Amino acid sequence: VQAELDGIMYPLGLVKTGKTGALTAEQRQALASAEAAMGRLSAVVKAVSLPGK
Amino acid sequence: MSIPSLILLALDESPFLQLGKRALFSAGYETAEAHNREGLARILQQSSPSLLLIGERLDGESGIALSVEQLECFPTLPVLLYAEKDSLTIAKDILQAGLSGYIYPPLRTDDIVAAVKRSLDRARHLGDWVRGEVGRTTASLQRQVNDFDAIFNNIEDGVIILDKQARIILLNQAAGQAFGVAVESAFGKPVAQAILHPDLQSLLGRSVEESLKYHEINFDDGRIFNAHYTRIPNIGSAITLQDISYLKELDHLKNDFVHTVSHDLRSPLTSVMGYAELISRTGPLNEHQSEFMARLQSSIRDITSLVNDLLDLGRIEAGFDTRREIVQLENILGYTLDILGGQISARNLEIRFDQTPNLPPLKANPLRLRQMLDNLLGNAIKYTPLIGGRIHVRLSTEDKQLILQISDNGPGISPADQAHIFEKFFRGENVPDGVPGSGLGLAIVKSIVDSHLGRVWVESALDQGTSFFVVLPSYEPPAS
Repeated sequence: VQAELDGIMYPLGLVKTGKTGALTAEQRQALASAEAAMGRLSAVVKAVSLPGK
Repeated sequence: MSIPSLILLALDESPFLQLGKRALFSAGYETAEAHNREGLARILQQSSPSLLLIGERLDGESGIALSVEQLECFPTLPVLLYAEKDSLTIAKDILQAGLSGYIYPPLRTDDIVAAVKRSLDRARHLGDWVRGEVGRTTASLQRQVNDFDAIFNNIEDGVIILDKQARIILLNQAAGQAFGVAVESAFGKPVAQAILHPDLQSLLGRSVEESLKYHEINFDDGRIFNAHYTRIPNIGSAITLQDISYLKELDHLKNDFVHTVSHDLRSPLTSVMGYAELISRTGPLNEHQSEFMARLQSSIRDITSLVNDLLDLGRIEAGFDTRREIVQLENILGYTLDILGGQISARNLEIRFDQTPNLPPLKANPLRLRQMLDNLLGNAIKYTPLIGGRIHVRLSTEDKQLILQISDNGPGISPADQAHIFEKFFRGENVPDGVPGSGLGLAIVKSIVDSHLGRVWVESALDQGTSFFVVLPSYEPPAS
Protein backbone atom coordinates (compact mmCIF):
# COMPACT_ATOMS: atom_id res chain seq x y z
CA VAL A 1 0.00 0.00 0.00
CA GLN A 2 2.81 2.39 0.94
CA ALA A 3 4.61 1.69 -2.35
CA GLU A 4 1.42 2.46 -4.27
CA LEU A 5 0.95 5.66 -2.28
CA ASP A 6 4.52 6.78 -2.91
CA GLY A 7 3.94 6.10 -6.61
CA ILE A 8 0.98 8.45 -6.88
CA MET A 9 2.35 11.28 -4.75
CA TYR A 10 4.69 12.40 -7.56
CA PRO A 11 2.06 12.87 -10.34
CA LEU A 12 -0.25 14.45 -7.77
CA GLY A 13 2.50 16.95 -6.87
CA LEU A 14 3.08 17.75 -10.54
CA VAL A 15 -0.60 18.51 -11.10
CA LYS A 16 -0.90 20.49 -7.85
CA THR A 17 2.10 22.74 -8.51
CA GLY A 18 0.69 23.64 -11.90
CA LYS A 19 3.56 22.07 -13.88
CA THR A 20 1.07 20.17 -16.04
CA GLY A 21 -1.16 23.22 -16.57
CA ALA A 22 -3.22 25.83 -14.72
CA LEU A 23 -5.91 24.85 -12.20
CA THR A 24 -8.87 26.67 -10.78
CA ALA A 25 -8.92 27.58 -7.08
CA GLU A 26 -11.50 24.83 -6.46
CA GLN A 27 -9.35 22.26 -8.25
CA ARG A 28 -6.32 23.29 -6.19
CA GLN A 29 -8.41 23.03 -3.03
CA ALA A 30 -9.64 19.55 -4.02
CA LEU A 31 -6.09 18.44 -4.78
CA ALA A 32 -4.86 19.74 -1.41
CA SER A 33 -7.64 17.79 0.32
CA ALA A 34 -6.78 14.65 -1.67
CA GLU A 35 -3.12 15.05 -0.70
CA ALA A 36 -4.06 15.49 2.98
CA ALA A 37 -6.22 12.36 2.85
CA MET A 38 -3.32 10.44 1.32
CA GLY A 39 -1.08 11.74 4.10
CA ARG A 40 -3.56 10.36 6.67
CA LEU A 41 -3.69 7.05 4.84
CA SER A 42 0.11 6.87 4.73
CA ALA A 43 0.28 7.51 8.49
CA VAL A 44 -2.26 4.73 9.17
CA VAL A 45 -0.37 2.31 6.92
CA LYS A 46 2.89 3.03 8.77
CA ALA A 47 1.21 2.70 12.16
CA VAL A 48 -0.42 -0.61 11.22
CA SER A 49 2.64 -2.16 9.59
CA LEU A 50 5.22 -1.14 12.22
CA PRO A 51 4.18 -3.68 14.93
CA GLY A 52 4.68 -6.53 12.50
CA LYS A 53 8.20 -5.53 11.54
CA MET B 1 -1.93 -66.99 77.89
CA SER B 2 -2.56 -67.47 74.19
CA ILE B 3 -5.74 -69.04 72.89
CA PRO B 4 -5.05 -72.61 71.68
CA SER B 5 -5.26 -73.11 67.92
CA LEU B 6 -8.31 -75.00 66.66
CA ILE B 7 -7.51 -77.90 64.35
CA LEU B 8 -10.37 -79.21 62.23
CA LEU B 9 -10.11 -82.93 61.64
CA ALA B 10 -12.11 -83.81 58.52
CA LEU B 11 -11.64 -87.57 58.69
CA ASP B 12 -13.80 -90.64 58.49
CA GLU B 13 -14.07 -92.66 61.69
CA SER B 14 -10.74 -94.51 61.92
CA PRO B 15 -7.88 -95.32 64.30
CA PHE B 16 -5.97 -92.38 62.80
CA LEU B 17 -8.76 -89.99 63.86
CA GLN B 18 -8.45 -91.15 67.44
CA LEU B 19 -4.64 -91.02 67.30
CA GLY B 20 -4.71 -87.50 65.85
CA LYS B 21 -7.18 -86.23 68.44
CA ARG B 22 -5.06 -87.57 71.28
CA ALA B 23 -1.80 -86.31 69.86
CA LEU B 24 -3.09 -82.81 69.20
CA PHE B 25 -4.87 -82.57 72.54
CA SER B 26 -1.65 -83.57 74.30
CA ALA B 27 0.21 -80.85 72.40
CA GLY B 28 -2.25 -78.19 73.59
CA TYR B 29 -4.43 -77.85 70.46
CA GLU B 30 -8.20 -77.82 70.40
CA THR B 31 -9.86 -80.02 67.84
CA ALA B 32 -13.17 -80.16 66.01
CA GLU B 33 -14.47 -82.96 63.81
CA ALA B 34 -16.26 -83.08 60.49
CA HIS B 35 -17.28 -86.33 58.83
CA ASN B 36 -18.78 -85.06 55.59
CA ARG B 37 -18.88 -82.11 53.16
CA GLU B 38 -21.69 -80.26 55.05
CA GLY B 39 -20.02 -80.60 58.42
CA LEU B 40 -16.73 -79.43 56.99
CA ALA B 41 -18.29 -76.32 55.42
CA ARG B 42 -20.29 -75.50 58.56
CA ILE B 43 -17.35 -75.67 60.98
CA LEU B 44 -15.07 -73.71 58.64
CA GLN B 45 -17.75 -71.02 58.41
CA GLN B 46 -18.60 -70.89 62.14
CA SER B 47 -15.34 -71.61 63.94
CA SER B 48 -12.55 -70.33 61.66
CA PRO B 49 -10.09 -73.15 62.49
CA SER B 50 -6.34 -72.49 62.24
CA LEU B 51 -5.70 -75.64 60.19
CA LEU B 52 -7.62 -78.31 58.34
CA LEU B 53 -6.38 -81.89 58.54
CA ILE B 54 -8.38 -83.78 55.93
CA GLY B 55 -8.40 -87.41 54.90
CA GLU B 56 -7.59 -88.59 51.38
CA ARG B 57 -11.26 -89.65 51.27
CA LEU B 58 -14.06 -88.07 53.32
CA ASP B 59 -17.51 -89.63 53.29
CA GLY B 60 -16.70 -91.14 49.87
CA GLU B 61 -15.44 -87.85 48.35
CA SER B 62 -11.92 -86.83 47.39
CA GLY B 63 -10.21 -84.93 50.21
CA ILE B 64 -8.15 -82.93 47.70
CA ALA B 65 -11.25 -81.87 45.70
CA LEU B 66 -13.05 -80.83 48.91
CA SER B 67 -9.98 -78.87 50.02
CA VAL B 68 -9.78 -77.04 46.69
CA GLU B 69 -13.46 -76.07 47.07
CA GLN B 70 -12.91 -74.72 50.57
CA LEU B 71 -9.72 -72.88 49.62
CA GLU B 72 -11.85 -70.84 47.21
CA CYS B 73 -13.57 -69.38 50.31
CA PHE B 74 -10.65 -69.56 52.75
CA PRO B 75 -7.52 -69.03 50.65
CA THR B 76 -5.16 -68.58 53.61
CA LEU B 77 -6.28 -71.73 55.45
CA PRO B 78 -3.40 -74.24 55.80
CA VAL B 79 -4.58 -77.71 54.73
CA LEU B 80 -2.77 -80.92 55.61
CA LEU B 81 -3.79 -84.11 53.87
CA TYR B 82 -3.73 -87.53 55.53
CA ALA B 83 -2.94 -90.10 52.82
CA GLU B 84 -3.17 -93.85 53.17
CA LYS B 85 0.28 -94.16 51.65
CA ASP B 86 2.99 -92.06 50.08
CA SER B 87 3.03 -91.79 46.28
CA LEU B 88 4.31 -89.48 43.58
CA THR B 89 0.75 -88.93 42.36
CA ILE B 90 -0.40 -87.71 45.78
CA ALA B 91 2.58 -85.36 46.07
CA LYS B 92 1.84 -83.91 42.59
CA ASP B 93 -1.90 -83.51 43.27
CA ILE B 94 -1.20 -81.75 46.57
CA LEU B 95 1.22 -79.33 44.92
CA GLN B 96 -1.30 -78.59 42.16
CA ALA B 97 -4.14 -78.07 44.65
CA GLY B 98 -2.06 -75.66 46.76
CA LEU B 99 -2.27 -77.68 49.99
CA SER B 100 0.32 -77.16 52.77
CA GLY B 101 1.55 -80.76 52.81
CA TYR B 102 0.60 -84.35 53.53
CA ILE B 103 1.28 -87.05 56.10
CA TYR B 104 1.04 -90.80 55.72
CA PRO B 105 1.57 -93.93 57.84
CA PRO B 106 3.42 -95.12 59.74
CA LEU B 107 2.76 -92.15 62.04
CA ARG B 108 3.61 -91.53 65.65
CA THR B 109 1.91 -88.83 67.69
CA ASP B 110 5.07 -86.69 67.46
CA ASP B 111 4.96 -86.90 63.65
CA ILE B 112 1.38 -85.60 63.57
CA VAL B 113 2.09 -82.75 65.97
CA ALA B 114 5.29 -81.77 64.15
CA ALA B 115 3.52 -81.72 60.76
CA VAL B 116 0.68 -79.58 62.17
CA LYS B 117 3.13 -77.21 63.84
CA ARG B 118 5.17 -76.84 60.63
CA SER B 119 2.05 -76.01 58.60
CA LEU B 120 0.81 -73.51 61.19
CA ASP B 121 4.22 -71.81 61.37
CA ARG B 122 4.38 -71.56 57.60
CA ALA B 123 0.84 -70.15 57.46
CA ARG B 124 1.71 -67.65 60.18
CA HIS B 125 4.77 -66.47 58.28
CA LEU B 126 2.77 -66.22 55.11
CA GLY B 127 0.07 -64.29 56.98
CA ASP B 128 2.66 -61.89 58.40
CA TRP B 129 4.15 -61.35 54.95
CA VAL B 130 0.71 -60.77 53.35
CA ARG B 131 -0.24 -58.33 56.11
CA GLY B 132 3.05 -56.46 55.59
CA GLU B 133 2.52 -56.30 51.83
CA VAL B 134 -1.08 -55.16 52.25
CA GLY B 135 0.13 -52.47 54.64
CA ARG B 136 2.78 -51.27 52.21
CA THR B 137 0.36 -51.34 49.23
CA THR B 138 -2.31 -49.55 51.23
CA ALA B 139 0.18 -46.86 52.26
CA SER B 140 1.32 -46.49 48.66
CA LEU B 141 -2.29 -46.25 47.45
CA GLN B 142 -3.04 -43.71 50.16
CA ARG B 143 -0.07 -41.61 49.01
CA GLN B 144 -1.36 -41.78 45.44
CA VAL B 145 -4.85 -40.83 46.59
CA ASN B 146 -3.37 -37.87 48.51
CA ASP B 147 -1.34 -36.84 45.45
CA PHE B 148 -4.41 -37.13 43.24
CA ASP B 149 -6.46 -35.07 45.73
CA ALA B 150 -3.73 -32.41 45.85
CA ILE B 151 -3.53 -32.22 42.04
CA PHE B 152 -7.28 -32.45 41.52
CA ASN B 153 -8.02 -29.70 44.01
CA ASN B 154 -5.18 -27.37 43.04
CA ILE B 155 -5.35 -27.35 39.24
CA GLU B 156 -6.80 -24.14 37.91
CA ASP B 157 -9.15 -25.89 35.48
CA GLY B 158 -12.46 -27.01 36.90
CA VAL B 159 -13.25 -30.73 36.74
CA ILE B 160 -16.59 -32.43 37.35
CA ILE B 161 -16.92 -36.20 37.06
CA LEU B 162 -20.42 -37.66 36.72
CA ASP B 163 -21.70 -41.20 36.92
CA LYS B 164 -23.98 -42.73 34.29
CA GLN B 165 -27.02 -41.16 35.97
CA ALA B 166 -25.32 -37.73 35.85
CA ARG B 167 -24.71 -37.65 39.60
CA ILE B 168 -21.57 -35.90 40.82
CA ILE B 169 -18.79 -38.35 41.72
CA LEU B 170 -15.99 -35.80 41.87
CA LEU B 171 -15.94 -32.03 41.87
CA ASN B 172 -12.74 -30.08 42.39
CA GLN B 173 -12.27 -26.76 44.15
CA ALA B 174 -11.93 -24.79 40.91
CA ALA B 175 -15.25 -26.10 39.59
CA GLY B 176 -16.91 -25.53 42.98
CA GLN B 177 -15.63 -21.94 43.14
CA ALA B 178 -16.62 -21.24 39.52
CA PHE B 179 -20.23 -22.22 40.18
CA GLY B 180 -20.36 -21.11 43.83
CA VAL B 181 -21.06 -24.66 45.01
CA ALA B 182 -19.77 -26.22 48.26
CA VAL B 183 -17.70 -29.18 47.09
CA GLU B 184 -18.57 -31.54 49.99
CA SER B 185 -22.30 -31.02 49.72
CA ALA B 186 -22.40 -31.66 45.97
CA PHE B 187 -21.19 -35.28 46.01
CA GLY B 188 -23.83 -37.80 45.01
CA LYS B 189 -26.33 -35.19 43.87
CA PRO B 190 -27.63 -35.04 40.29
CA VAL B 191 -25.58 -32.33 38.59
CA ALA B 192 -28.76 -30.70 37.28
CA GLN B 193 -29.82 -30.10 40.89
CA ALA B 194 -26.44 -29.26 42.38
CA ILE B 195 -25.36 -26.77 39.70
CA LEU B 196 -28.16 -24.65 38.34
CA HIS B 197 -26.18 -22.64 35.78
CA PRO B 198 -28.22 -22.52 32.52
CA ASP B 199 -25.17 -22.76 30.21
CA LEU B 200 -24.01 -25.94 31.97
CA GLN B 201 -27.54 -27.38 31.79
CA SER B 202 -27.56 -26.56 28.09
CA LEU B 203 -24.21 -28.33 27.55
CA LEU B 204 -25.43 -31.44 29.38
CA GLY B 205 -28.74 -31.47 27.52
CA ARG B 206 -27.24 -30.95 24.09
CA SER B 207 -24.23 -33.23 24.61
CA VAL B 208 -26.64 -36.14 25.00
CA GLU B 209 -28.80 -35.17 22.00
CA GLU B 210 -26.23 -33.80 19.55
CA SER B 211 -22.85 -35.08 20.71
CA LEU B 212 -21.96 -31.46 21.58
CA LYS B 213 -18.55 -31.34 23.21
CA TYR B 214 -17.71 -27.69 23.76
CA HIS B 215 -19.82 -24.96 25.21
CA GLU B 216 -19.16 -21.53 26.67
CA ILE B 217 -20.25 -20.89 30.23
CA ASN B 218 -20.85 -17.19 30.85
CA PHE B 219 -20.92 -15.84 34.41
CA ASP B 220 -22.60 -12.65 35.58
CA ASP B 221 -19.27 -11.19 36.71
CA GLY B 222 -17.95 -11.30 33.13
CA ARG B 223 -15.90 -14.48 33.38
CA ILE B 224 -16.22 -16.90 30.47
CA PHE B 225 -15.30 -20.57 30.73
CA ASN B 226 -14.93 -23.10 27.96
CA ALA B 227 -16.59 -26.33 29.09
CA HIS B 228 -15.53 -29.59 27.44
CA TYR B 229 -17.75 -32.65 27.78
CA THR B 230 -16.18 -36.12 27.50
CA ARG B 231 -17.83 -39.51 27.88
CA ILE B 232 -15.90 -41.95 30.07
CA PRO B 233 -16.67 -45.63 29.36
CA ASN B 234 -17.95 -47.60 32.38
CA ILE B 235 -18.01 -44.49 34.58
CA GLY B 236 -20.13 -41.75 33.03
CA SER B 237 -18.75 -38.45 31.85
CA ALA B 238 -16.35 -35.63 32.67
CA ILE B 239 -16.73 -31.89 32.27
CA THR B 240 -13.56 -29.81 32.26
CA LEU B 241 -13.76 -26.04 32.55
CA GLN B 242 -11.12 -23.60 31.42
CA ASP B 243 -11.23 -19.87 32.10
CA ILE B 244 -11.01 -18.22 28.67
CA SER B 245 -11.96 -14.70 29.82
CA TYR B 246 -8.57 -13.31 28.76
CA LEU B 247 -8.84 -14.96 25.33
CA LYS B 248 -12.26 -13.40 24.88
CA GLU B 249 -10.81 -10.04 25.88
CA LEU B 250 -8.06 -10.52 23.28
CA ASP B 251 -10.73 -11.37 20.72
CA HIS B 252 -12.53 -8.13 21.49
CA LEU B 253 -9.28 -6.19 21.20
CA LYS B 254 -8.47 -7.84 17.87
CA ASN B 255 -11.98 -7.17 16.64
CA ASP B 256 -11.77 -3.51 17.67
CA PHE B 257 -8.37 -3.24 16.02
CA VAL B 258 -9.59 -4.69 12.72
CA HIS B 259 -12.63 -2.39 12.75
CA THR B 260 -10.52 0.67 13.56
CA VAL B 261 -7.91 -0.13 10.95
CA SER B 262 -10.63 -0.93 8.45
CA HIS B 263 -12.24 2.47 9.01
CA ASP B 264 -8.94 4.40 9.15
CA LEU B 265 -7.74 2.88 5.89
CA ARG B 266 -10.95 3.05 3.92
CA SER B 267 -12.03 6.52 4.96
CA PRO B 268 -9.08 8.44 3.38
CA LEU B 269 -9.26 6.23 0.28
CA THR B 270 -12.89 7.20 -0.23
CA SER B 271 -11.92 10.86 0.29
CA VAL B 272 -9.08 10.75 -2.25
CA MET B 273 -11.33 9.11 -4.83
CA GLY B 274 -14.04 11.72 -4.18
CA TYR B 275 -11.63 14.65 -4.53
CA ALA B 276 -10.09 13.14 -7.68
CA GLU B 277 -13.56 13.04 -9.28
CA LEU B 278 -14.28 16.56 -8.00
CA ILE B 279 -11.21 17.97 -9.76
CA SER B 280 -12.46 16.91 -13.19
CA ARG B 281 -15.96 18.24 -12.42
CA THR B 282 -14.91 21.66 -11.09
CA GLY B 283 -12.88 22.78 -14.10
CA PRO B 284 -11.32 21.77 -17.38
CA LEU B 285 -8.25 19.51 -17.44
CA ASN B 286 -5.72 19.32 -20.21
CA GLU B 287 -4.45 16.05 -21.64
CA HIS B 288 -1.54 15.74 -19.17
CA GLN B 289 -3.68 16.59 -16.17
CA SER B 290 -6.36 14.11 -17.25
CA GLU B 291 -3.77 11.38 -17.71
CA PHE B 292 -2.27 12.01 -14.27
CA MET B 293 -5.68 12.10 -12.61
CA ALA B 294 -6.68 8.85 -14.35
CA ARG B 295 -3.46 7.26 -13.07
CA LEU B 296 -4.27 8.54 -9.56
CA GLN B 297 -7.78 7.04 -9.66
CA SER B 298 -6.50 3.72 -10.98
CA SER B 299 -3.92 3.53 -8.20
CA ILE B 300 -6.53 4.37 -5.56
CA ARG B 301 -8.76 1.60 -6.92
CA ASP B 302 -5.80 -0.82 -6.69
CA ILE B 303 -5.04 0.29 -3.11
CA THR B 304 -8.72 -0.06 -2.15
CA SER B 305 -8.77 -3.58 -3.56
CA LEU B 306 -5.53 -4.45 -1.76
CA VAL B 307 -6.78 -3.03 1.55
CA ASN B 308 -10.06 -4.93 1.19
CA ASP B 309 -8.14 -8.16 0.51
CA LEU B 310 -5.84 -7.56 3.50
CA LEU B 311 -8.75 -6.82 5.81
CA ASP B 312 -10.61 -9.92 4.59
CA LEU B 313 -7.54 -12.02 5.16
CA GLY B 314 -7.09 -10.49 8.62
CA ARG B 315 -10.70 -11.21 9.55
CA ILE B 316 -10.59 -14.82 8.36
CA GLU B 317 -7.21 -15.55 9.97
CA ALA B 318 -8.29 -13.89 13.24
CA GLY B 319 -11.27 -16.26 13.35
CA PHE B 320 -13.93 -13.56 13.00
CA ASP B 321 -15.51 -15.33 10.08
CA THR B 322 -17.99 -17.36 12.10
CA ARG B 323 -21.13 -17.07 9.99
CA ARG B 324 -22.31 -20.51 8.90
CA GLU B 325 -25.38 -21.48 6.87
CA ILE B 326 -26.52 -24.62 5.10
CA VAL B 327 -25.70 -23.91 1.45
CA GLN B 328 -25.43 -25.72 -1.89
CA LEU B 329 -22.09 -24.91 -3.50
CA GLU B 330 -23.48 -25.55 -7.01
CA ASN B 331 -25.93 -22.67 -6.53
CA ILE B 332 -23.17 -20.26 -5.47
CA LEU B 333 -21.00 -21.50 -8.33
CA GLY B 334 -23.83 -20.97 -10.85
CA TYR B 335 -24.36 -17.43 -9.57
CA THR B 336 -20.61 -16.67 -9.73
CA LEU B 337 -20.37 -17.96 -13.28
CA ASP B 338 -23.32 -15.74 -14.26
CA ILE B 339 -21.61 -12.69 -12.75
CA LEU B 340 -18.32 -13.52 -14.48
CA GLY B 341 -20.12 -14.26 -17.76
CA GLY B 342 -19.22 -10.82 -19.17
CA GLN B 343 -15.49 -11.34 -18.62
CA ILE B 344 -15.66 -14.88 -20.02
CA SER B 345 -17.42 -13.66 -23.17
CA ALA B 346 -15.09 -10.66 -23.52
CA ARG B 347 -12.10 -13.01 -23.56
CA ASN B 348 -13.91 -15.46 -25.83
CA LEU B 349 -13.24 -18.34 -23.40
CA GLU B 350 -14.85 -21.74 -23.69
CA ILE B 351 -16.25 -22.79 -20.31
CA ARG B 352 -17.57 -26.21 -19.30
CA PHE B 353 -19.36 -26.98 -16.03
CA ASP B 354 -20.01 -30.56 -14.89
CA GLN B 355 -21.59 -31.67 -11.67
CA THR B 356 -22.65 -35.03 -10.31
CA PRO B 357 -26.32 -35.23 -9.24
CA ASN B 358 -27.52 -34.94 -5.62
CA LEU B 359 -24.58 -32.98 -4.27
CA PRO B 360 -24.67 -32.72 -0.46
CA PRO B 361 -25.00 -29.33 1.26
CA LEU B 362 -22.21 -27.51 3.10
CA LYS B 363 -22.32 -25.65 6.40
CA ALA B 364 -20.43 -22.57 5.32
CA ASN B 365 -20.33 -18.82 4.91
CA PRO B 366 -21.87 -18.23 1.47
CA LEU B 367 -20.14 -14.86 1.04
CA ARG B 368 -16.73 -16.39 1.68
CA LEU B 369 -17.45 -19.29 -0.69
CA ARG B 370 -18.43 -16.73 -3.31
CA GLN B 371 -15.15 -14.88 -2.67
CA MET B 372 -13.21 -18.17 -2.98
CA LEU B 373 -14.91 -18.97 -6.31
CA ASP B 374 -14.39 -15.38 -7.53
CA ASN B 375 -10.66 -15.62 -6.85
CA LEU B 376 -10.19 -19.09 -8.35
CA LEU B 377 -12.32 -18.42 -11.44
CA GLY B 378 -10.91 -14.88 -11.72
CA ASN B 379 -7.40 -16.36 -11.89
CA ALA B 380 -8.49 -18.94 -14.47
CA ILE B 381 -10.03 -16.17 -16.60
CA LYS B 382 -6.99 -13.88 -16.19
CA TYR B 383 -4.38 -16.48 -17.05
CA THR B 384 -6.15 -18.37 -19.84
CA PRO B 385 -5.02 -17.39 -23.38
CA LEU B 386 -7.30 -15.17 -25.44
CA ILE B 387 -7.21 -17.62 -28.34
CA GLY B 388 -8.39 -21.13 -27.56
CA GLY B 389 -8.78 -20.47 -23.83
CA ARG B 390 -10.70 -23.20 -22.01
CA ILE B 391 -11.89 -23.47 -18.41
CA HIS B 392 -13.40 -26.63 -16.96
CA VAL B 393 -15.29 -26.52 -13.65
CA ARG B 394 -16.25 -29.79 -12.02
CA LEU B 395 -18.22 -30.48 -8.82
CA SER B 396 -18.44 -33.97 -7.36
CA THR B 397 -18.85 -35.73 -4.04
CA GLU B 398 -16.97 -38.55 -2.34
CA ASP B 399 -16.78 -39.82 1.24
CA LYS B 400 -18.92 -37.05 2.76
CA GLN B 401 -16.84 -34.42 0.99
CA LEU B 402 -17.53 -32.01 -1.83
CA ILE B 403 -14.79 -31.73 -4.44
CA LEU B 404 -14.40 -28.66 -6.62
CA GLN B 405 -11.97 -28.70 -9.51
CA ILE B 406 -11.24 -25.63 -11.64
CA SER B 407 -8.90 -26.32 -14.57
CA ASP B 408 -7.58 -24.01 -17.27
CA ASN B 409 -5.23 -24.34 -20.23
CA GLY B 410 -3.19 -21.28 -19.22
CA PRO B 411 0.61 -21.01 -18.96
CA GLY B 412 0.78 -23.31 -15.91
CA ILE B 413 2.79 -22.85 -12.72
CA SER B 414 6.35 -24.08 -12.27
CA PRO B 415 6.94 -26.70 -9.55
CA ALA B 416 9.06 -24.16 -7.61
CA ASP B 417 6.23 -21.61 -7.66
CA GLN B 418 3.60 -24.20 -6.72
CA ALA B 419 5.23 -24.55 -3.29
CA HIS B 420 4.57 -20.85 -2.56
CA ILE B 421 1.41 -20.22 -4.54
CA PHE B 422 -0.81 -19.86 -1.43
CA GLU B 423 1.55 -17.48 0.40
CA LYS B 424 0.60 -13.84 0.85
CA PHE B 425 1.88 -11.46 -1.86
CA PHE B 426 3.41 -14.29 -3.86
CA ARG B 427 3.19 -13.97 -7.65
CA GLY B 428 4.47 -16.59 -10.04
CA GLU B 429 7.57 -15.88 -12.14
CA ASN B 430 5.80 -16.57 -15.42
CA VAL B 431 2.82 -14.27 -14.78
CA PRO B 432 2.35 -12.42 -18.11
CA ASP B 433 3.04 -8.66 -18.06
CA GLY B 434 0.03 -6.48 -17.47
CA VAL B 435 -1.99 -9.09 -15.57
CA PRO B 436 -3.09 -7.21 -12.43
CA GLY B 437 -3.01 -8.78 -8.95
CA SER B 438 -1.78 -8.21 -5.43
CA GLY B 439 -0.72 -11.77 -4.70
CA LEU B 440 -3.41 -12.10 -2.03
CA GLY B 441 -6.16 -13.92 -3.96
CA LEU B 442 -4.94 -17.46 -3.37
CA ALA B 443 -3.89 -16.67 0.22
CA ILE B 444 -7.52 -15.63 0.81
CA VAL B 445 -8.74 -18.83 -0.90
CA LYS B 446 -6.56 -20.93 1.41
CA SER B 447 -7.70 -19.03 4.51
CA ILE B 448 -11.35 -19.50 3.54
CA VAL B 449 -10.88 -23.21 2.84
CA ASP B 450 -8.93 -23.67 6.11
CA SER B 451 -11.62 -21.87 8.10
CA HIS B 452 -14.15 -24.33 6.64
CA LEU B 453 -11.95 -27.31 7.63
CA GLY B 454 -11.24 -28.13 4.01
CA ARG B 455 -8.15 -28.59 1.83
CA VAL B 456 -6.94 -26.82 -1.28
CA TRP B 457 -4.10 -27.75 -3.59
CA VAL B 458 -2.83 -27.11 -7.08
CA GLU B 459 -1.74 -29.45 -9.86
CA SER B 460 0.02 -27.83 -12.77
CA ALA B 461 2.72 -28.14 -15.41
CA LEU B 462 4.29 -25.34 -17.42
CA ASP B 463 2.47 -24.72 -20.72
CA GLN B 464 -0.07 -27.40 -19.90
CA GLY B 465 -2.50 -25.54 -17.70
CA THR B 466 -3.44 -25.57 -14.05
CA SER B 467 -6.04 -27.32 -11.88
CA PHE B 468 -7.06 -26.09 -8.44
CA PHE B 469 -8.79 -28.59 -6.18
CA VAL B 470 -10.88 -27.67 -3.15
CA VAL B 471 -12.25 -30.36 -0.83
CA LEU B 472 -14.83 -29.29 1.74
CA PRO B 473 -16.59 -31.48 4.34
CA SER B 474 -20.26 -31.86 3.53
CA TYR B 475 -22.91 -31.05 6.11
CA GLU B 476 -24.33 -34.01 7.98
CA PRO B 477 -27.63 -33.20 9.68
CA PRO B 478 -27.71 -34.47 13.30
CA ALA B 479 -29.32 -37.87 13.67
CA SER B 480 -32.88 -37.51 14.95
